[in-house]
Amino acid sequence: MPEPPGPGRLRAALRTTVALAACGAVLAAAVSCGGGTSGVAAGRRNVTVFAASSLTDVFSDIAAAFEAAHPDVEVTLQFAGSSRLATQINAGAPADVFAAADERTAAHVAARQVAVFARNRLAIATPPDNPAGVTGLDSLTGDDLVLALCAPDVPCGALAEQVGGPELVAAADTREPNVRGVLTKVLLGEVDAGVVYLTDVAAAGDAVRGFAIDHPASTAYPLVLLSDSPEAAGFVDFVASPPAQDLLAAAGFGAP
Amino acid sequence: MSAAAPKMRGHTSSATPAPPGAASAPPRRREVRGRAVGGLWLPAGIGLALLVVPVIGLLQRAPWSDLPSLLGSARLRDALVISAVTSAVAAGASVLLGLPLALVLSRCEPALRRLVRVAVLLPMVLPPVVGGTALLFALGRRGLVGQWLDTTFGWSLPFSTAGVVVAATFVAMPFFVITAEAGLRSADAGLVEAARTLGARRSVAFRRVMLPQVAPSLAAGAALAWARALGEFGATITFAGNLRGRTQTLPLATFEALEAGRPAEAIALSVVLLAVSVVVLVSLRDRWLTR
Repeated sequence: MPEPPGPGRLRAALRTTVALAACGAVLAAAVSCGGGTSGVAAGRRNVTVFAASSLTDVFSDIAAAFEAAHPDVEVTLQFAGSSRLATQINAGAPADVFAAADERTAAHVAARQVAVFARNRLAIATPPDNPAGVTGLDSLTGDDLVLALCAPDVPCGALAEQVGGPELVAAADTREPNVRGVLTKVLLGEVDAGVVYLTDVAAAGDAVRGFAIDHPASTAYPLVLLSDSPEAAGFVDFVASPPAQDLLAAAGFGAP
Repeated sequence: MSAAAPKMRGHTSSATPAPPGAASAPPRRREVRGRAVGGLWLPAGIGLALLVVPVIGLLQRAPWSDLPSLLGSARLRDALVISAVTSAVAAGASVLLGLPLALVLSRCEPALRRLVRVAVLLPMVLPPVVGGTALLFALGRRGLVGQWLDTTFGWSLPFSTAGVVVAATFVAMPFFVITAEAGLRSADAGLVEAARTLGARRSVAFRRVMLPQVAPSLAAGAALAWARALGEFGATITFAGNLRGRTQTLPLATFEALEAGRPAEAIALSVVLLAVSVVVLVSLRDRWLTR
């Protein structure tokens, strides 16, 4: 295995260096292909928005509409479970606006201004063929059924515990870090059912089957303003305005 | 690789021709060494700081007085048990399946060996989350092999403790195979030949002559595999999910605690994993620290 010292080793080292450089070039090419619009254009101001996973689709649309209305402002979006985003913000992450999936999580960060902009309810998502014959909340507690819930500390997990009680918690086979993680496991067919938001079922379209949960509990989405920048305040106002509220309603979110 | 290092050093030192005046040799070597270090102190120091400062940062934030109560909590105990069991089984599986693989590697045709070695090394360089995704599409309920396992035997690996073991073995076994293979290849095959000509059966020659020679490599490989299995995160959360008492290992519990705004718990768990890593290093000291 050890190569003899001398030109052979040098050549081998050179070969490795060339290979690594090629890898770097491939990565760079991939980045430049994918990110035509993501580069920070000169002169554009930035608003960084941290948003709950369940807002993934609708906030991408809202940000695009906001950018169309304010060509000089660029919105940077980051989606994750609300509790992770709150932890990151408290650790100094440079977010200007935080859209959390419940008020308890939003209360963990020091805010300048908080206003509820949407509501959501839970639903059950199953693969299209519904392999375990799910009919509703009561049918989730069987032993044979593979069930995914959100982690206890993310809003969708806390709400699921409130709605389904300890029987539902005991039936869970995995607790995913955010609601889109639950949805993915359903989309892949790796679980028989997942408890997600009504809006996640709508966003997945025909790829999942949705079942309503007959329970009045809902969650309120607060929008938290974290910075003094006028653009950030502008974005917060925009989310409350009719164009954004129409997008939220179209995605299945309830009015604040 | 590690087995190759001493050989190289022996080679170069014996190859260095003794200068005519033997007495002048030691001071010259010392002079060269001193000059080489001089300019390197700064980058070397920055490099070392990058590795050491995070550990210090962790330790200075550790809630030492609360540590016993934190580690005694039911949630952390569950994670401790899952981690201890799954990493031990994964290390065992790595040895049981990895030793035959290492033997085949050390004996087969060079062309085939290169091919097999790429397959063995791939999980080592692959991002673990990619490994977990790959496992999901291979052994998941609707995966290539998993579908068959599910319909034929009713076995489903994702979201089970067995799934944690599979994910950990996937990332850990290469460490054992590579270390064991290096040991096997540097062992003296002539001794086994001699034992065979003296009438020892193949199995006896292997057990009594080969194994004692390669035992340190096998032990080091097993320790490395175990440490890697214990630290496994990406493949586990992707493939086996995250459920307390079933698939939530120490790294997963650390992640969840940090996500949930329970930093003290996350630090306590990190200190445990750090301590284990130090123990592994100390147990491998003959291999890495004293050379």
